Amino acid sequence: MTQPLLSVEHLAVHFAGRGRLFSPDPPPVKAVNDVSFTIDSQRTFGLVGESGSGKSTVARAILQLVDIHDGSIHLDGDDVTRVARSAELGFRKRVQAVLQDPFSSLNQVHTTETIIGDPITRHLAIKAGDERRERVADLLDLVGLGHEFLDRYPYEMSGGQRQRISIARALAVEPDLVIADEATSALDVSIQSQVINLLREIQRERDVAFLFIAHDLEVVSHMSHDVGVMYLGYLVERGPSDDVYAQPTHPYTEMLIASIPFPEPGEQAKRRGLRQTFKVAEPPSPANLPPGCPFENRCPVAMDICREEMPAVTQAHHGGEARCHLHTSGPELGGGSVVEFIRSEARGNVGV
Amino acid sequence: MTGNSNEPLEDADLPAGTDELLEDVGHIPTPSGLSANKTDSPRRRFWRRMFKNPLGVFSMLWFLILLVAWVWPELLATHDPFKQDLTFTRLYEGPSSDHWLGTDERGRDFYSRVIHGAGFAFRSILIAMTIAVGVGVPLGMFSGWRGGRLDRAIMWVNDVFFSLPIILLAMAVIIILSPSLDNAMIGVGIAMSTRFTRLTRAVTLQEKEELYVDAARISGLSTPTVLARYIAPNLLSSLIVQAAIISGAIILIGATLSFLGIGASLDDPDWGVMLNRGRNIFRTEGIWQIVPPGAALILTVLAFNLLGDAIRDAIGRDASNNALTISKRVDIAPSDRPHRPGALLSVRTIDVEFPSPGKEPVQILNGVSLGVLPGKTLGIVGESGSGKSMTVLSALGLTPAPGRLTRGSVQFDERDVTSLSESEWQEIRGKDIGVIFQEPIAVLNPAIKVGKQLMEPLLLHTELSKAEARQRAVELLAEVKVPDPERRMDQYPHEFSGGMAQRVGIAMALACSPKLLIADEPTTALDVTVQGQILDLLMDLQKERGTSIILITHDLGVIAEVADRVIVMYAGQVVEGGLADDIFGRPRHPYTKALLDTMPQNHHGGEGDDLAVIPGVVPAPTDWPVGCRFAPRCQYATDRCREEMPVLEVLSDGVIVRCHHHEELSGEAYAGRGEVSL
Amino acid sequence: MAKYIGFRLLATIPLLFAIAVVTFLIAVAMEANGSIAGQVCGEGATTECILEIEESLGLNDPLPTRFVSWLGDVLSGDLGVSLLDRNASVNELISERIWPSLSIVGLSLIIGISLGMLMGVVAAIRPGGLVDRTFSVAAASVIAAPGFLIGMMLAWGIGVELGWLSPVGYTSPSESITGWFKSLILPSIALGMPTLAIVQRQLRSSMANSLQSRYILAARARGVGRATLIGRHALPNAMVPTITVIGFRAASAIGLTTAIEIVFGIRGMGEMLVSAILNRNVTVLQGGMLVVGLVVSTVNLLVDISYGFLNPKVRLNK
Ligand SMILES: Nc1ncnc2c1ncn2[C@@H]1O[C@H](COP(=O)(O)OP(=O)(O)OP(=O)(O)O)[C@@H](O)[C@H]1O
Ligand code: SF4
Ligand code: SF4
Ligand SMILES: [Mg+2]
Repeated sequence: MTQPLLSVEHLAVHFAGRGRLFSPDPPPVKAVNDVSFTIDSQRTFGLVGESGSGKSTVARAILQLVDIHDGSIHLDGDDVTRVARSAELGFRKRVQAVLQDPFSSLNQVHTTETIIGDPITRHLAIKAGDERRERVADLLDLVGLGHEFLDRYPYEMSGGQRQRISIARALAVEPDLVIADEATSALDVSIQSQVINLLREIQRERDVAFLFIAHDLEVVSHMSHDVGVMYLGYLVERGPSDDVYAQPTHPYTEMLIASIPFPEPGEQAKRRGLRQTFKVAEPPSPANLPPGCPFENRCPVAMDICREEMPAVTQAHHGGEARCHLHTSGPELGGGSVVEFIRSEARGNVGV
Repeated sequence: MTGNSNEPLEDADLPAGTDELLEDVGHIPTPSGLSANKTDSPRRRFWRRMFKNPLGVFSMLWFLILLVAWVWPELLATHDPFKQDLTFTRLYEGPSSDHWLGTDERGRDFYSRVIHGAGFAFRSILIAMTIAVGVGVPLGMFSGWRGGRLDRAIMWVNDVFFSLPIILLAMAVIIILSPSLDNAMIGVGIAMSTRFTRLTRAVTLQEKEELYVDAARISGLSTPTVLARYIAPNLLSSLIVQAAIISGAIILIGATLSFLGIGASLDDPDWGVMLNRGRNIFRTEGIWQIVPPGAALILTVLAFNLLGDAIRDAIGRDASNNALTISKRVDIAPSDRPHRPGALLSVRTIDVEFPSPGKEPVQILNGVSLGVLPGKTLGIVGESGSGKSMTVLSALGLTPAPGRLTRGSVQFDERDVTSLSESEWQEIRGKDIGVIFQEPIAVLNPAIKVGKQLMEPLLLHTELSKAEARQRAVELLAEVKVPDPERRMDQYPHEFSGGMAQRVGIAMALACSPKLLIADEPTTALDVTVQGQILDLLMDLQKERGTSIILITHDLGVIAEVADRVIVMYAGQVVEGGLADDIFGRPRHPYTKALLDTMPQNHHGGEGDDLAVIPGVVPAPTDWPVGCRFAPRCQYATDRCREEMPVLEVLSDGVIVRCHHHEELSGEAYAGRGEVSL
Repeated sequence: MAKYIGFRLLATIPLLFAIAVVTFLIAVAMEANGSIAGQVCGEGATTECILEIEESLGLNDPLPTRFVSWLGDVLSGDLGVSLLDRNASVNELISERIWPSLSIVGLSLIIGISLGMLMGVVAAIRPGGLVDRTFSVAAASVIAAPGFLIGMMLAWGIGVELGWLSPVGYTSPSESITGWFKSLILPSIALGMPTLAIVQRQLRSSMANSLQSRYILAARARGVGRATLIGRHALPNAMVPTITVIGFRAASAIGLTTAIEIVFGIRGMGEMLVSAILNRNVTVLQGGMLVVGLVVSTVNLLVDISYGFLNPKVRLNK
């Protein structure tokens, strides 16, 4: 078995609270807890979850933008959990990112040539000039933009065009891994599909691995080979994307799937029925996590043990992992799909 | 003194980055691209706006004069400002051809003294500003970038100095050193540095969170590079505005200190000193002696302030319209289509246009019609900029100014409401028609308790007493399944999550049991799991109350879930409409079909299964094609499409469609749709 | 709310201490700049005079001892005696001088804030309209004029030329209440005009912002009328930044009243401080600075507390 390109082990990120000058700090926000996954080269790992579940924080931890509380990150077997200053340049060349907001991820005061050219100068030591300009032009070809964009400022472009510039910038230094955090979320439907196709095409041609983050499971599973589902900082399920989508092993995954509106009235009516079995409740605050399963207050099949004990990670039928008591207690599903169980329970509750 | 995010204008007004950005996030639909002329760079636009602003031009001219007076006073002055003429008749002389502004108490030429005064003013600015910017900007940048306890400590000290009167700080320095204008300006500089520290820190904090700073760090750029190349340019415009205004303040304080006799030396031709001289004699000799230095002082400070304003206006967005501005009444051409019988709300062929300075007005809605039947749900779907929100706002008489309705007719509940006055509308809005918006928290007033806001429509539109209204409001919260409604009543909007806030929004819209509920992207800002629950709530309430709903969204899945009828909008027009089953089962318009095809839900292949795409982008209203507006992106477009705009046709099954080729297309090319499966 | 106020009160203590330290250091710094006693006693000073002053300032003790004993005196309410007139206690001097100054500042703030708010709201209703533009130009010009200049013009126009009010002097309220009020009118207007203009501009701009908010459109869509929208929905939010500016202006008015007092020949704190600076009268300076610092801190405290009322977020955070 070859070594994975990226391996994240037991990652935890906490944000210290910020009190006033003369008062004690509030408890830390536990944004990411005990998250582990690997990405093989030239593959795509997708990360889904609702807003605040810690997806971006995982990305920012890998990118060395936030301090890590616990756990480790390896790139090609090298420990890069805390990259030393001297090694930073090499690391930065290998891992790049495309960020969520096409408006604010580009600096308004620079032209495309500078935006894409800056990292080229930094990492490939090609000074501003004809050679660099040519390289930037090639990258524009790759992302499907004309050369007239070389001298444009971000405000002269549409959202989709800006996102293409971000992608070109990420690819400029020929990285091994590109982290795309909500890279398509801010775009219009018709533009979103253009960018998704572009990313897939780039992966085929350029041999890069992606960490693809989004809140839309439909988009993520379309993009990725494997997916991880996050809830309140925990990775609650992980596995091959088609299997996770078809036979989820965690109730939250099932809830996500049921919540995606389907553009066909008949099919949508079915999903709606399933969705309604989940309880309306506010998720707990990441600064004040309950001792048990964080999903407990919304879970339709919660048991007593769920309130008291944090579920451990168990092997799932699809080869991945799930973090739910159902596999070891109660129905003891042993890593199997939770779909049938939830549906029968739900029917039981309604008394059908 | 508190670390309040709502910084006041005078101290930390941050001119926003660009207009376009604001227009995009400020959801009030402004036709994007209207003002954003592609060839108009911000720098060009800045100077164009500066020169079009008479006050800006005035201040720039005045500075030109002052600059000459400072650098080369002999060019303007007619006499030596220090040359005394103690001949008795020469004191306090009025204006004459030799002494244009007369003479002072020692027979010195007043005009020349005033001219030389400019030098003192600029010298003061130079000293104080060097200290203020030199200390304040690096400190603010450091503090903001560094964050943490050190930042808080620095800001605490800064705020202490910030809140002390500047004159007092200047006095303290004078006491410690010795009375002189230069020493006073050291004190003023220290005091003013606190303004720059605050501003710089605020901008740095804000920019630090911007994704492009992350992007720069990911690219491997070092911290100093990021600060210099990324943060500093964005700081510059705010700093310039602030510096202009503070320069004016520095001159004022310098003049005050000189006036008190603890600034410039009493012989110097400084404006404050001249005013001090004038003070001693105005009761006996008249006011003339304070007029020239006073006028010079006022004009200079005014010029600085106006310059600051002009720069701010030239960078920032146009604030001349607000949500209160009622758009101008114009003659509304009637619609040529009859209203739909039995419809609760019926909109017929409305046009909305925005005036564009010096050009033809830009039409952003073109012949939009829709109707909703009692108890039914109409979905409006389209991409951003297609005119969805504008349509319903205009139907409610809320066309955002300066836009205006120029054609068409609106009928609500059998009544023509096309040209109701604002006060007539107030009777209907909130009572018969409720509205739910996209950003559930932003539409709640942050300063008012949620309960109070919820009671507002009840008190306005019903006879309920305050206590009854409160009771009813609690019931409403319970009805929309807000847990613990009593306690929630007394909370403020920022204590609500997006989902809970949207429930409040729904409760508010439904408070007076309206006949029609308009929901503009009610779930777009929410998580997908919460979205489902909000939609469930809407549907349940509709079932109980028989309310009609118009639901606007860009998500076809949401439409599929809730709508009975659907209209699809593209570039300010309705391109297709009909029963939801027909639209999803057998789309007739190429745009509708393409939209459905791009959704990943309709693709479940592996490696090779790329999503269908619609090439190109939605054009801006100024660039709408003459023929079919979808033609540049349509795979079926013909020459006819590019030349002639298709009309909206009503088909035999009641579907309406705007396409030249719908008949041919719905035959073969579309076959196969309708068998969507998972 | 009580908790919030308590917290703000506590936070004022270090501020006051800081002011005390700075005030104390003024004396130290002045000394480093040449013998105070020498300067006070003037040329040809007698050794007696110098010794006496050095003794009364405790100049021969080490710094910390001096600070502690000085602070002790201050806390027990004893600000010492004036170096120029050994019979005048600084306490008395200040208690005599502070009332004219406080009266002028107080009345000027009342005038400036009330009219400024009114004009700010009126201008914001129709941004860019005739009223708005007139107010803007007027406010900009007034802000550009120093208060003492406005004062001189008022004193000349209304005092000298028209003779309606006396252009000089201050009448104590114990003599005559109407006389007191009359003697305050011109100085307060002079000091209050810039306040008015500053408040007007700030409120106009934050009202304009507030009126562009989504919640205004939403309230309008609920059928809320114009007056309610402006008064109940937009104003409270617009007041938050305006309060900051008012607090800031109140503090500077305390400093700027100095010049106004001099124009109108009123013997207040300002006049006292200026002549103390020129005469290097340390004890009077220290006492004066300390009292002004106390007043400024009180103003800031009031501003912080009104924040709490206006802005729920500030209050609940603590
Ligand atoms: N710098 C920070 N300081 C304090 N808390 C933070 C910080 N950044 C993130 N958090 C908190 O950490 C948690 C996880 O946030 P994160 O941004 O990773 O979520 P996300 O899944 O990316 O959400 P979204 O879909 O909204 O982007 C949230 O509770 C968030 O409020
Ligand atoms: S652990 Fe319990 S509460 Fe959590 S998801 Fe599994 S069944 Fe539900
Ligand atoms: S009219 Fe022509 S261009 Fe327009 S949608 Fe129909 S086929 Fe396409
Ligand atoms: Mg995120």
